[in-house]
Amino acid sequence: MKLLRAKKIDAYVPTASMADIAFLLITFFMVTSSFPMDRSNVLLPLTEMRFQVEDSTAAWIVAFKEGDQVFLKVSDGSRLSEPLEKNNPFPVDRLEAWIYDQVNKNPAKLFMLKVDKSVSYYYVDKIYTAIKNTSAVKNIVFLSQAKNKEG
Amino acid sequence: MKFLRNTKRNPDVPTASMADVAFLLITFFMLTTAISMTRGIFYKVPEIQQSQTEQDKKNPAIYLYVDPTGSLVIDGKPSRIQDVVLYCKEKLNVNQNKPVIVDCNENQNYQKMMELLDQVKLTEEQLWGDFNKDKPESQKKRIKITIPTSEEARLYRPQ
Repeated sequence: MKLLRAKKIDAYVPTASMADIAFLLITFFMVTSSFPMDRSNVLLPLTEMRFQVEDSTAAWIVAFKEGDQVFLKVSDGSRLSEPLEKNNPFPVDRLEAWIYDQVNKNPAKLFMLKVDKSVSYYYVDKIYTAIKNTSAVKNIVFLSQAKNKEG
Repeated sequence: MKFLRNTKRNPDVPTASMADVAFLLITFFMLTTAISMTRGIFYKVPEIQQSQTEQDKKNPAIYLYVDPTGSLVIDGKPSRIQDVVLYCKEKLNVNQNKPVIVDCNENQNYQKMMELLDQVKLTEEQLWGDFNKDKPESQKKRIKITIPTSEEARLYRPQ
């Protein structure tokens, strides 16, 4: 009886399309990702109701606590947030003018309020009063993080 | 004279590291992107109209207030945060245009005010969530929420 010789096949993983897949993923992330305009360490208040806000041109007002002091930072939506004044941590007097300037550039400007949950409402009220005093801001988003329903 | 033979070389673009570079970029985007940061409670700042005061008299608002001790007061009565939805639903079922004022004492922290606002938004969702589905923004039913500044709130707050 004649035995057939087993044919040897080289082990081979096709990797030709790997770069295509990788670039497809890059494109996906580039299109869907949005870079936050603020990188401050803020613990947002917890809420059950949260709505997705998609506005890359929105202005950001950030307030957070460090020790006993509350700091204010702003971003016009095109660059990372920065303090309004270098020597004054909470220059709320200048905030109104800044908001007015933003609305002058874009009357439909959306304002994102990113405030640490432990910040006293006194400071939030100051920010909110500045917003209201301009009589030009139409929409605000109070940023929050998801509340665990069981908790 | 002796001519040198041309050594032929195939043109070649090295692509071996392309996948590495691509995956490095993916990792970068995955780490730097923040998807959940832009979620929150949307608030339309009410426009002040001259006829509003006249309208306010016809539709007295529901007044929700976190007092200096952190306790909740609904229309002058001490209440619990869990009561907000039920109370507002009852009132809004009778009159859909009833404004809701969300107020917080300045000594309290921001979380307290957001809890209250959250409950009002929850009421809106329970009342008109189904109705608002697939409707354009202009046709959606919304609770008329007002957040007064501390100056404005002096009109409402108990002395």
